[in-house]
Amino acid sequence: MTHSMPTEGDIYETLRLELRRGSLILAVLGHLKREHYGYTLRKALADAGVEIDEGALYPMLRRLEAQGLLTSEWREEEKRNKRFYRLSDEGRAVLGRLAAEWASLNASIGDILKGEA
Amino acid sequence: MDLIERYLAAVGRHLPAKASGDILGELREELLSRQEEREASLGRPLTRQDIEALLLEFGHPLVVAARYRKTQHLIGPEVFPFWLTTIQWSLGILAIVYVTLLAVAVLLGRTNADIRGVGSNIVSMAIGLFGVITLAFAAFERFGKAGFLRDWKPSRLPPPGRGSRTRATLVGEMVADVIFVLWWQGAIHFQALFPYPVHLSVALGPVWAAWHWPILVYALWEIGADVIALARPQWTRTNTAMLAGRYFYGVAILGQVFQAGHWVEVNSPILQPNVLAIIQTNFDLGMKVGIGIAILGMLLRVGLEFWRIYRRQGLAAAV
Repeated sequence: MTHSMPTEGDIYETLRLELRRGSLILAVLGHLKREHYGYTLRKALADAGVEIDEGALYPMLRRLEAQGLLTSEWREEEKRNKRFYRLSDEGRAVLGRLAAEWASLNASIGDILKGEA
Repeated sequence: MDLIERYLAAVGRHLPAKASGDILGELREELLSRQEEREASLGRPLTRQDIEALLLEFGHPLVVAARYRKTQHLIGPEVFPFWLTTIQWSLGILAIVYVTLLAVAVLLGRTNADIRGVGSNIVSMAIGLFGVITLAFAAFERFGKAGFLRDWKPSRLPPPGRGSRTRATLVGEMVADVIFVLWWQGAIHFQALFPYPVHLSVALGPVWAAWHWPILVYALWEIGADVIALARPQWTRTNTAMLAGRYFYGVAILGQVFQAGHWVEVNSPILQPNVLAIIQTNFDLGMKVGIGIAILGMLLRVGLEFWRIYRRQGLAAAV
């Protein structure tokens, strides 16, 4: 039996995905200050440089809604029923706290990487 | 369109009925939007092959549906080490028990069919044990882990450093003791232990019958002490006291047995009495050496255990 060692590229890709995973929720909440349905949200995130797989996005939207951070409603647009999401009041408060945490973490990591910490 | 509906129906079969309509509506919208986007970029309607490619990109229906499940794993990363340890120990103990049974079956002169039976039993037992443990831990993952992971006590952890006896040693000792007790009480009999070319019977001498019950108590004490040492390794003093007491008791019994000077009865219907006498003397000499070594070994073990405790306390005081 042979075990193929992961290449440096494999390791980088795994770590990159882990690094991005935690920040996706922040990006989704941040974009939903404005109303979006799933497809346009995914496109908007991709345009902003945050690619997200629909297999991850839709379950995440449902979970965030179940947690009370998002509200949604079905509406007809361009002759098709679409589910529109936006931040709830609670979601807005949580986003504010998460954004502060992100800024603090970002500053700390920045210092560490610059060797100042 | 037909392919997309078939795909959505396949996803829907694996979704919870309550949320199915909602989720499928959203997925349909995503797929149709993607189809429109691709048609716009190609400047033509998508062919059946194009739609197939689009659905392949979207993912297997079972995988897509699974992402909406509340439970994403049977045993999560927190519970996994407990599951793995339990599996390793359970299968290890099972293997020891079956190897012992196999050895007993061979010694008792059982048939090949019996031995094959033991072999096939171990496979089904191992699979069954694996399944039962996994199901128990899956239930634990869902309903019981929070309290367990929070309520553990550092004081119940075994002391640092390698113990005098590993778990494997304790389990091996217990299995050997159980077999000994069964044999001692006459529940099992061993045959052909001495494969001599002549008819020679070797039986225990009368001294052993006189010490039958104290020896049985010793074996049962050993089993009990091993159970406690396995279940409560952190009870260092209790375990050492049990071990030391057991060895002192063992030395007392063997000391009395040692004085008998005659431990086995050797008989043969065909050997000359003078030849038989030589064999008898050699067997008794072997027993004398064996019992003497056992007494010395027990005294050495007691001394070693006390030295370990002394050393551990010395180290603790130094820290």
